[in-house]
Amino acid sequence: MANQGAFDIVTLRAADGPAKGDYYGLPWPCWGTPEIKHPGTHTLYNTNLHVKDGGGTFRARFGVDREGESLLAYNSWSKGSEITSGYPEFTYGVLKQLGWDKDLTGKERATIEKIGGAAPDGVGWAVDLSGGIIRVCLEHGVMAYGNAKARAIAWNLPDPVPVHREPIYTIRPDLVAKYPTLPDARQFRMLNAGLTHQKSAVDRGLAKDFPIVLTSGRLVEYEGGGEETRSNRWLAELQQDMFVEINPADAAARGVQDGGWVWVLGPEDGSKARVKALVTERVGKGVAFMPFHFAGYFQGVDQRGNYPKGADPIVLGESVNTVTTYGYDPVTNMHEGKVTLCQIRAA
Amino acid sequence: MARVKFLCDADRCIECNACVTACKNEHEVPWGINRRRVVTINDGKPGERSVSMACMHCTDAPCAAVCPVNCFQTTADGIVLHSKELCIGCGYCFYACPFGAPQYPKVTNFGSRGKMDKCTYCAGGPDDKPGKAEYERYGANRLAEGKLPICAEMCSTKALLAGDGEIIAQIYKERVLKRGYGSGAWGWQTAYRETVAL
Amino acid sequence: MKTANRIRAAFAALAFGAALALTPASAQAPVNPTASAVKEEQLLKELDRVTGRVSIPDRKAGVVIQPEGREFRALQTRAMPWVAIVAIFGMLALIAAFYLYRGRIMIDSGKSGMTIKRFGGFDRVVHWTTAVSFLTLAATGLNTAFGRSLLLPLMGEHAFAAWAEFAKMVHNYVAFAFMAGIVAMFVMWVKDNIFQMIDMEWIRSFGGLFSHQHPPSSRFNFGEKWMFWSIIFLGAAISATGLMLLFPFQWAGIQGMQWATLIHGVVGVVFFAAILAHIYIGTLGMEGAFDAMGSGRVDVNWAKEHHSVWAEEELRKQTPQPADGRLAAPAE
Repeated sequence: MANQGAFDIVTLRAADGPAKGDYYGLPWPCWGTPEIKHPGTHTLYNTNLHVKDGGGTFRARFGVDREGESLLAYNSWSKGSEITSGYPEFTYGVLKQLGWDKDLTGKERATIEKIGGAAPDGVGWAVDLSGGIIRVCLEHGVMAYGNAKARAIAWNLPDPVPVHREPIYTIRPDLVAKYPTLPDARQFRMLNAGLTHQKSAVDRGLAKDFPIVLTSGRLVEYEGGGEETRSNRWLAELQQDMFVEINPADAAARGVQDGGWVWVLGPEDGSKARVKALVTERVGKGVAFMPFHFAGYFQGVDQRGNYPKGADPIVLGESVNTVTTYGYDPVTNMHEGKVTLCQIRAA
Repeated sequence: MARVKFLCDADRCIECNACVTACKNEHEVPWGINRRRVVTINDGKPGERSVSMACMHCTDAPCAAVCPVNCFQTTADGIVLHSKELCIGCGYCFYACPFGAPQYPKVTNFGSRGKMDKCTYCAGGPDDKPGKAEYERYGANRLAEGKLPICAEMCSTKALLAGDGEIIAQIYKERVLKRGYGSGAWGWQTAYRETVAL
Repeated sequence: MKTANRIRAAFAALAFGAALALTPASAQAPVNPTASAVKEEQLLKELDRVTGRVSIPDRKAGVVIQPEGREFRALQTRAMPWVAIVAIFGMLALIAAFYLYRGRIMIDSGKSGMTIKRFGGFDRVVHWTTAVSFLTLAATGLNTAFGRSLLLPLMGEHAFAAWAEFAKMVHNYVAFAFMAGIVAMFVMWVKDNIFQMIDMEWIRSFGGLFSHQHPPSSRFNFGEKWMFWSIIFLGAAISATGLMLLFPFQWAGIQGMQWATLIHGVVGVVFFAAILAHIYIGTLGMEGAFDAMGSGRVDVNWAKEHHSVWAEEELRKQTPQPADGRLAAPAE
């Protein structure tokens, strides 16, 4: 905050003072060792700036070609680049090919060769602990991570181009036959049996008893599971209760009052969460939203006594994942927290 | 000197509550006291707007008029300050305030609600010299340091403007002209008996 | 490279298609994202206030703009003082005029020297508790309303603020003694304050205030009944609004609190004016009246003149005693 006044409100760079040349907040990525004093990258992939000024290219992340088609950039490079075409990620070997390895200091070269052992040419910029490859690249106006095209077909994902798939617990079981989830498969060491669960939910007619789509998301006040941010009194005061957003029509049909307590019932294992109702048109009819930053109550029971002394956050509440259901992303194995079904009753 | 004001550009406010958090942190405002708050109007409906509201430092302030002990005073900059030495916590200013700005440490305890607390435009209090005693009673005195209120400084979308009333009105006017719409300078008519002509 | 071109062409076609799809919307006037936005002016016109949702539990924080605060201020700072001046000085003027016209109402037949009991010890404790607390409340209440104009210039800001804070505390606590007194008086005296046909005569002759007559009356004459019910109703109103002010926002929103404050003030000054009349007639205005609440015993002749029916009943029940101090052997 001390040098705040030095930053230009449009370019976000400091004109003078100790932070001269830096972007406000040194935004990621800030290339190289501290000695390089890279100003940070205000806008990613900005080819209108030199890489030393926060410019950049699109990363060559997925190889150099696919099905005979070059994946490297075409007619595009960052300002002042000595390579005026696409180029792959930099390794010691690439530096050697370009003859730029002579720019490495003895110490940098020694570190790279030590890391590489028998095959030093394969040492890439990302594992070069000396930072030498990055430094030399910056000197030549190129990005160590390469210069490639963006891709719209993610061929290494189960759906290279996203297609519609009904959620495992869907409000429209009639669409499951046409838009099923991915087949069961073993991912990493675990079985991902999404399709089995989806079929079972349809067969049992769960959508009849749990007619509201439940989604979860974040609040601006809290971060992640919220243990830290709910321990910050300035933030905790702004969101003091776990709640469920429910449409006025759904609330009226259930006798739910704004600010009143409700039970949100999940479709698996009789799960339930006691939370406050926030009756609002932020959600459409048939949709409910719960934030995922709360914990410390379990199915209506206060767990404050179970925290180690002094570790309990100021604000506790039901965790939304008490009522969310089965489902794992096939690529990341992230659980399904965005779509499930629920029923809501006044408590 | 200039007449300072607040202006909340509701078309920019994203209800992030950073102004509220910044205010609380800057002045160590206790739990339950909200010098500034963000109110969402038409919540969930098309045309929903959020307004960050605190003491507007009114021209001819109603709080000052109804105070039984005359604890309010308006500075040369147009900032309405109140003396916690004089305040008796009667609550009249809250009833007269069009913006719900006055806050009391204890709201429902009969006998004593404690000294009223409200936004000082980051100008400390009327009694003391800037320093520890003033900080504990009124919060930071940023104006004495040549800085503007922290809420407006921290505003991530620059929805909340603070400073010379004429300049911030001009900024708002230019924004409205450039983008072609504006829902108005909320509270100005009530606080200052004037509005930003658009 | 051929493939690349093909892909590029495909993307261009896609982009063109997207542009086509968007054309109908963008061909019209520039999109105004606030076309349906709420406007302050419109809300103020429709509802006279602007309210919304806040995430903090303080519901009253949801009222963003309530211009009626300005009206409250006008009523509180301009209308209220006039109500007070008219009520209090008007009543003082009436009392003075009545005194000049009628003088002190004497016991026509003179004191008999013999007394009968009118109010027992408990009655008097309740009366004086209520009376003292009322006067305390009146003084501290009037200070809150008018001290700023009247006392502050004399005392200076800091001395006045200290006194006003003390006065406010006194007002808040003594209020409970007053409310208890009102309730006790109601319970004790309500049965003797119910309207009787005999009161019609009192009304017809206006209590003999202007005619030197003595219309018959039970324990309380119509004038006293009028005062009783005034105290009960004004007391109830001032207690109810006072409790609302003691526990702000428990039972009312901002408008309710504004009305409570204003009603409390208006009832307060009207109540004070009524009590001025009560004090006058109970002391200076009528010979023998003060004894009823002083010693609790009244002169037999006073009783016969002002409460003939009651006096007859009492004289059947109790033997009058001489008014000397010595008899003061416990009356009960």
